[in-house]
Amino acid sequence: MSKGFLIKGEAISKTFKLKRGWQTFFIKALNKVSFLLPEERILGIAGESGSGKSTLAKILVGLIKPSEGNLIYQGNLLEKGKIQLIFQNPYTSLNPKMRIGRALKEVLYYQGLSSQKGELERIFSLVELPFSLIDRLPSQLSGGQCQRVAIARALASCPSVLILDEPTSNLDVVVSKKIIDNLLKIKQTLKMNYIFISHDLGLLSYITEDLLVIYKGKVVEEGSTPDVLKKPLHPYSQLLVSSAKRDFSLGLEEEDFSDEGCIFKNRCIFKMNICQNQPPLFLKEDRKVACWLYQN
Amino acid sequence: MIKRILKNKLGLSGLLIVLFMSSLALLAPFIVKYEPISLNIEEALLPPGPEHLLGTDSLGRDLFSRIVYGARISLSVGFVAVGIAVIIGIILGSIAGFFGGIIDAVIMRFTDIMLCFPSFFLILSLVALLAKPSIYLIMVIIGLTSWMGPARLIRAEILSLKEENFILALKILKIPTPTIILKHLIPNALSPVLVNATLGIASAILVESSLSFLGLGVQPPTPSWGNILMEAKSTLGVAPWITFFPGLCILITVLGFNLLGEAIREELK
Repeated sequence: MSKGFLIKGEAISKTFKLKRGWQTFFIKALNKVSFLLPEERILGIAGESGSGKSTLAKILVGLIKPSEGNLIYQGNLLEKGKIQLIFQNPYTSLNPKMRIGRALKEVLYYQGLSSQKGELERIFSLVELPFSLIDRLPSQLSGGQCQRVAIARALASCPSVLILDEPTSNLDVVVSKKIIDNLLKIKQTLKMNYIFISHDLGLLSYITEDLLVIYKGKVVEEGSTPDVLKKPLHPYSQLLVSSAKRDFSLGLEEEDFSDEGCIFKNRCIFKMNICQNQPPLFLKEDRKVACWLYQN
Repeated sequence: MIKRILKNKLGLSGLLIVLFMSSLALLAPFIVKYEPISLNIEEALLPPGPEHLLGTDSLGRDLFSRIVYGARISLSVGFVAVGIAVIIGIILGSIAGFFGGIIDAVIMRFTDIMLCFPSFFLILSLVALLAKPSIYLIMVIIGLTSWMGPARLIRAEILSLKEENFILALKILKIPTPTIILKHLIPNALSPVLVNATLGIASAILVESSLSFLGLGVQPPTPSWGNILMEAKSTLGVAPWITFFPGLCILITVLGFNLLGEAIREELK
């Protein structure tokens, strides 16, 4: 932690306003999320669909503004486009009518970099794509190749942080593994920093060093990845880890949307009276966990 | 896409009609034997025959030549007017769709106002207002009164496209907004406009014919299908072929563009 941080989030909240006819609903996608991306560490963000993971990603790259809270970037990371986002579905993240070579050249051009053949070849080799694909349209590529192009395009803008939002969940296991290994290699050669957003704990344990477990827009547990996954403290993390092993004994009951007290209380098998109150983040063996079980 | 349109029988016939009429128009000087405006009173009102393929009109002008040259006028009015309409539509529609908010509201309310006018009467009064109707003026006026369809289509497409991941990715990559609109949004929003434009050419041809028929369009002696019809009115009883052939040409051409447009629409679904 002595090396300083790249991005620091302080109590980030995001509320979406939804209008249905005369009624207005407020959806709290993120609720006071704090985190730290230290230099040269890989941060993982785990959570199920609808937990606010993708909202957090969009806030980090500046696509949407948080309703509350502070984001502190080192230097002028954000203004210069030094934070890039890789989307889940690679086909939708590329212009379907533009050949991939031109798409990359465009990024290089607006970065004021040379868009000569040599530079393109270098970027293609970084993501292990054959240079012969340069004149293809995205629809003429496989999902894995497409995702590599998306990564290549992000790298063409020389970012310092790459946020990957479920980068491999549309791909099969072998292709995913290759892309993940490729990303790890890029981290070595370019000193890249990653934030991995995924529901896939296997992937997160393979690549990330720190882990943030989010449930309903709230951080429920925070710590180093091996610790959290080996011995999850929060009941929700325990549920995630056990269901990743296809063990559903901890229950997957229907949730409700009450905001009172602990957000997880209706699904929790350790439910106590005190859970009617919202738990703060307790410190437990250099981990933070939002559960009354760890009060002392 | 072109391959599949060729497999669609109606689409193929539409395409063939359009190609046939366009080549007639382009190759006009090589096809016809007589000048379309050369008079020969001695040969007036001849029925169709080997010398004059489709007969002659009341001033002895060769009807075939006049129809072939008329195709030049009618088709060029169709293409240019729709070209103007599509360009205006793309500019206004993409600005409204991309920026949204107040800009969108202003542009779209203006579009609604334009749609409120019965366009043919608007065109009629504009032509009557502006001194001498020339073919270029007709093109511009038809274009200026028919951009609303393309504008709405482009806006709708861009509204949905701008939320797509690839546009978000370009924003994160700090690609300038004009580049995003011109190179990424518009090319992906064009397909429904293509259908609209093809159908628009048909209606522009009809509008030009109607204007010329009313004497407010292309002025004689320049032949256009509409003013051939107008001049044939008086001789309808003696020489019905002068009315028949230009009418048939309008019918077939408009049908051709409509068939082609429908086929493209089917393919884009």
